[in-house]
Amino acid sequence: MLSIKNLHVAAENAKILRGVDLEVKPGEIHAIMGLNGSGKSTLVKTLAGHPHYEATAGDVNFDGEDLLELEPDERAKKGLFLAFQYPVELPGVSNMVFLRHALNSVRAERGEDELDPLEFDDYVRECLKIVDMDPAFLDRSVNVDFSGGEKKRNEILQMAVLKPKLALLDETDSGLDIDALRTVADGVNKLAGDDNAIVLVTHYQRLLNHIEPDYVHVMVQGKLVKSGSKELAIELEERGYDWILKEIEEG
Amino acid sequence: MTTSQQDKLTHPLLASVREQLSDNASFLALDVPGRKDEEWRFVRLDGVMNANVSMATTAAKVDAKDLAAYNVPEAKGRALVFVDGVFSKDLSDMSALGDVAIDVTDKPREEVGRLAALQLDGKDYFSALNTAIYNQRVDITVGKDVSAGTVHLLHVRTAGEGRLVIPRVFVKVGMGSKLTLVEEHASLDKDTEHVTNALVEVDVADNANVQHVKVQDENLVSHHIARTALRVAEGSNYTSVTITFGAAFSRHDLHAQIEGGSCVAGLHGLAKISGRQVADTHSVMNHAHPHAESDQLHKCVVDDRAHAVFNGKIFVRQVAQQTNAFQLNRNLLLSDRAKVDTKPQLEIFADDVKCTHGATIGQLDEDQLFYLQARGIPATAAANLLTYAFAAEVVERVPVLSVRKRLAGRISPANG
Repeated sequence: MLSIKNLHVAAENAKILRGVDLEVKPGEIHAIMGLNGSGKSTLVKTLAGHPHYEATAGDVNFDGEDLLELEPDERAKKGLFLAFQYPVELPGVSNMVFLRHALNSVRAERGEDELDPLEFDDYVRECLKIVDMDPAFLDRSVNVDFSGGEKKRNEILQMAVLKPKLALLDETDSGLDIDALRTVADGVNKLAGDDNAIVLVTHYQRLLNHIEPDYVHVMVQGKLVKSGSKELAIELEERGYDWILKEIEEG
Repeated sequence: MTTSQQDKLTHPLLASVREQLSDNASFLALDVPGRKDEEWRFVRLDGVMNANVSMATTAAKVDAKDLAAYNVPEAKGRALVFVDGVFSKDLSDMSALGDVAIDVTDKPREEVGRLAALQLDGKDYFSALNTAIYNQRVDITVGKDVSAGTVHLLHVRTAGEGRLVIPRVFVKVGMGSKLTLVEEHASLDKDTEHVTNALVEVDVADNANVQHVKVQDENLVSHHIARTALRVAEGSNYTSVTITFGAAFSRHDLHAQIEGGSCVAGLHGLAKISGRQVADTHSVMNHAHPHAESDQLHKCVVDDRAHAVFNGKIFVRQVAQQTNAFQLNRNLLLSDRAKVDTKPQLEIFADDVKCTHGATIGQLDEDQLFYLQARGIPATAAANLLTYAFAAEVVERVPVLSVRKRLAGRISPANG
């Protein structure tokens, strides 16, 4: 589904990613862990097409297409989804209008009919249940005056509405208390299936207690330096990252 | 008349009213404002003064069907139509005035002109011109404790001859009463150059509530100059929402005289302009009484080479302790050549007041655009959606549902 080969990325002339390789297949959940500034968020933002990041070398293939050649909206229409670390506020754009607009763009790409407001209303109410959100959120401006936890839940609501093939979750656990973390993780688990894949970017292992990854990768200085099973995440939580840095130095 | 006075009447704008003005000493004492005048420094009046227009004396024929788009169901039975500035009895519907008295008249009335004269000592050129030459004044009078509903004043301009349109309105709302006024200016064709010089005075008595919606959607070769002067008294509320879409050049002066406590004056506006349009808004909030509140949100969406001006003055007189004044001017530039001049101006002579003001000028936010794109919405649609949302914040304040819906449609992404 996703195949990243030797990806190099720069932003404002600073090299951030220095040769990332990653293969993601349908049904898999991958976690990318690493220290602040290691390049985890850069990777997922680059995949989503953020204009600040420029791929200077390497290839990214998503479902048979050269992902880096596509506009951000084209990537989304083809089934790629980024849950933002810092969801953006859109004053004056109601959540309902936003979600329907987004879904209809994606449906048009899939050759499906647009949903009218009534049909969409039925559809979105089912999605709200997945993240245990009050329908009142639909009438509010996107993310405006939402708490940190509500914003993150709203991201997963968007994921539920769009049903992407590949979801990239960027620090979705940050700013969540344990109750909110469980709700968000439950939502993600309900959406995970054999046909789609999830890549989680996180600092801490605690999200991985609730969303169980098939693979854990460690990013250091713009490269994925070590991969393993979920036990690797537990080890990182207990021992920190120094031992990995040491392993690298020792070659 | 001296030569220099004669010179003042040579402007093509005044051609049809030269006779009337020739013995009007107070008007002849005034000069056309120029760029050296602080109040006019951002704009040029050449286009207005050189327009070949004349005042109409009879209403041109207009098919009622052509006005269907401007229908305001909330004002059924209280809708007045003016064609090129001339009242049309046939097109108007005054069948359900109820407790509102509406007169179209030329009779002198002592109170008329007082509010307009509060600024510039009555020496405002265009106010003086309006006063000197208007033929028909609309007097809307509401008594005490009357729920007057919605009144619609529709001014349409027709194809053919360029007209000098001189609307004059005097509104007096008595104690405890409520009135909603929709003032609308439209053109029925795209190519005829008209000039409008409107003067509206609104006197709001104790505990009364006036909601004033103004929509200026004239064609892009016309010019629109207007002044709204109002007074709010103890416990009253006056809120206006002015929407500016049209005219090559438009200038709107608003003057709120705050003369009571526990009252609210709200002057909100949206100018959405493109091409080479100029939209200039000058407002004055004059707090002359303690414990009052003023509220202003003025937004401009400026595309192409258009130019928006906002000058918002807030005076808080020494007596006006405990004033709470809020003003925000936000500008969205959609092109590199679009231009905005904004000037908040606060003069505060009282020491126990709360005044908040701000002005922002910006382009569409990159992060917001990316967020929408990341959800599958193409760049152009994303930009349109954000522009709509920016403008909708003002449109949502329009208290008349049918007008609000119409305006929302006008700014919706589907209509560019």
